[in-house]
Amino acid sequence: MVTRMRAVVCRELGPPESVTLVERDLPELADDRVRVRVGAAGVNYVDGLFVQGRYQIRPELPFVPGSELAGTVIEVGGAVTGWAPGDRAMASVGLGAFAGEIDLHPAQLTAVPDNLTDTQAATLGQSYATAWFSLTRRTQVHPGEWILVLGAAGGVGLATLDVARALELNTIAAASGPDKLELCIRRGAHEVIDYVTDDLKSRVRELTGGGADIAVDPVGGGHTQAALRSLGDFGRLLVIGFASGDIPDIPTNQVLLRNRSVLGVDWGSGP
Amino acid sequence: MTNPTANTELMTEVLRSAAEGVLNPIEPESRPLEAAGEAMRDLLDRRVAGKLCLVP
Repeated sequence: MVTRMRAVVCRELGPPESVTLVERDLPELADDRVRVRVGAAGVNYVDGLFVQGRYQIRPELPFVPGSELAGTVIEVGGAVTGWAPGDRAMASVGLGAFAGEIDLHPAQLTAVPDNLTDTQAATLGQSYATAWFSLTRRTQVHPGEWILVLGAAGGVGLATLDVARALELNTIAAASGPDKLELCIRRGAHEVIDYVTDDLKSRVRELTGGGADIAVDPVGGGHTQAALRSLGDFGRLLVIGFASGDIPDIPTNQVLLRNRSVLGVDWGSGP
Repeated sequence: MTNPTANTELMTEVLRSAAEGVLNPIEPESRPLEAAGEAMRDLLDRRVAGKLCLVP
């Protein structure tokens, strides 16, 4: 029986490097909880925002960061049914995943498909949910349509490339630098654009023969307008986030032209 | 999470697609738990190509 656990702790809000790794006693497991040994915890942009105090929600201090994980059930509370030690489980938790063990409510747990590793499962939830929600709920896509993915080598970007491929879209991955573009090609991107050296709008127009049908933007900043202008007739710009730290303005004449749409994607609050 | 049922439904679709091999999630870069701070920093600074996870 494990009696001690390791956890990453944030004692005060500030730079991410200020978190510390501590060892502490494991509490007794509550009757209505399942204890999971964390096999892997995904690191997401939002985790750093929590620690910096830049997220909409400010957790009470101290807290253990880490928003998603996959691992193995090691102990089950007396009132819990449906889970047993040895079961593989994954969860999206908000906080607490950067630890050796975590106690969760069974409703938070999902079984891990056999063909996924813990590391894959721990990094799948947030990014794939966002990508899937974007392309199946916020807009309708059709096989053969052209999709431009900004920040394509990032978490949401790579998930979007994978979902787009599964939905039989033609993909253009935009990222900065040869390493990231090479990764996008390995992940099945049909075309790539380096937005350091290429002109995004003209390159997309050229590749698609008139304009992209969909643009997915988790980056914001200066690339958003270029992505909007790269859209063809009835093109849709999906606003996912602002990893660049810059929330751009959108010229509405560019929305009017060619009957374009700009759609917000906030999967946690919909549909 | 204003609509947990809809979110569960969405994740069920994602995981079914992954189990069927329709989706093919990338194998992320693994770092030890000790590297949590640096990992969050690298992600915020957009220095990471691909996905990142901590392995306790």
